[in-house]
Amino acid sequence: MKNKYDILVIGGGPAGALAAKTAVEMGLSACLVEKRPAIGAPVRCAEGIGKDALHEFIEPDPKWISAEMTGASIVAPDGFLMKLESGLAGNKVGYILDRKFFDRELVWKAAEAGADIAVKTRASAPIMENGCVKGAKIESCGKVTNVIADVVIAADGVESKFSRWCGIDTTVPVSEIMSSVQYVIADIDIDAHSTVFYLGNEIAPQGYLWVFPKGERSANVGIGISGKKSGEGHRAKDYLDRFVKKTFPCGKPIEYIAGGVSVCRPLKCTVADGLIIAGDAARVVDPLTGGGIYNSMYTGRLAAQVAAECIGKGDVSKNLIKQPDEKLNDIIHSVSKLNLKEFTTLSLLTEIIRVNPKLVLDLGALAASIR
Amino acid sequence: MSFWTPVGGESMVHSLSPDVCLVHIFTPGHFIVNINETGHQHDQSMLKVHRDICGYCGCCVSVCPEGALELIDAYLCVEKSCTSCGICAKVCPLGALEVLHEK
Repeated sequence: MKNKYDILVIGGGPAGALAAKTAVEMGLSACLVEKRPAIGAPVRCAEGIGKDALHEFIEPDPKWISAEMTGASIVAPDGFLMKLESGLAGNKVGYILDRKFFDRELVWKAAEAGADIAVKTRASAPIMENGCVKGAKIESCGKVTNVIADVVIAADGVESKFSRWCGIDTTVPVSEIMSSVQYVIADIDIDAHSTVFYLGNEIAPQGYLWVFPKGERSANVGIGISGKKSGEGHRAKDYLDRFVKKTFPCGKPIEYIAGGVSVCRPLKCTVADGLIIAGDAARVVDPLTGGGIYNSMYTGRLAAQVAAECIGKGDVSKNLIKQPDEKLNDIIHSVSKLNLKEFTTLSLLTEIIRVNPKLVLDLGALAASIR
Repeated sequence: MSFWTPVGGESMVHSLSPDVCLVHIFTPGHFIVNINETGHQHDQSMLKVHRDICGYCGCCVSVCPEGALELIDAYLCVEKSCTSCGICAKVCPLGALEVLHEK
């Protein structure tokens, strides 16, 4: 790692990887730091992505695709199952990724393109000069280095701290965090090519429970409930364990992950002088689907493009403040809509309400939670 | 000035002076903070991290209004600005956080 880069990227998820890769492809020097010792783990993701969305960034590779989805189902609180085959669900629906390998691939591509990568290395404080972010204090194995950068891209995920240290409030309201848990369960009977969503306040208050196939007989079985519905004795894990015990009594969990998924609107301001925020840190997860991979890659790439443009003009401070932020926000909002369409949850919901109007009552709570 | 008191089999550091603001207690299982932003003890409540339950997911970090939590790899740090408001304990998907009210 050097002491100076054009762009310093904090976080090695899809947003950070795309930011670093884009930056070097645009002729800038870039370094990506990841606080964890390995890229891609822990996963903290249900790993679903629409086919078209993925294709926009990378050609699918069996190495990091766990399963291909051709349909989706919704199970209503009364057990009513609504199946949507690919035609209805918007053609080729999507993939369930293997994020451990997918994230590695993205970071590897950034490295191959010329970015420096450092793992088990964290940004512990911004370096500020007259209110402008000029780099970060980088800690690695007990050593602290000052790394100077024209632009810092904070892609440090749901637990983002960097932008907060730079004065941007990123706090997610309790009603807009989905408190989540997921098991990877092996040796269970599932439809290996269909995602299943379970709805209902008894199953997942103001959220949903998902079964996303990872192979012929294994799946990501997870749940997200509204933070305001969470509490002692009725946490995400309590609901999920109850469901798993009933639905997959003989299943064998081979992975156990917790997570928080923000379903608020993206940050009002995703930039400051010398700083751009991308991915989960900018709160760009789609509020209806909980999907965030595409939005993260999109905003990561956009952050690097905007940064490159401003560096090219020789003015990262002023130009970064307004115009790119508007651009970023506009695109985040349109992306949010776009992803929704691709992920087709809305069409699923619309369809199920058409078939079983009584469900509106229960879905009302879900809708309220994401408003 | 501080002294060590065994509480429930764990070691804790208590501040004797309200002006001493750093009371970070490291034990193998827990990390407890009972001092607020101004450095004064307030109603003796403290946030306890059950490290054997914590899934180090960062859900709590995102909702903390004080920015008092930080997830460093697999370790959740509680900073002295923690006010023991309990929002993190509420949203934790696993129940790893607990606000203790000590009299």
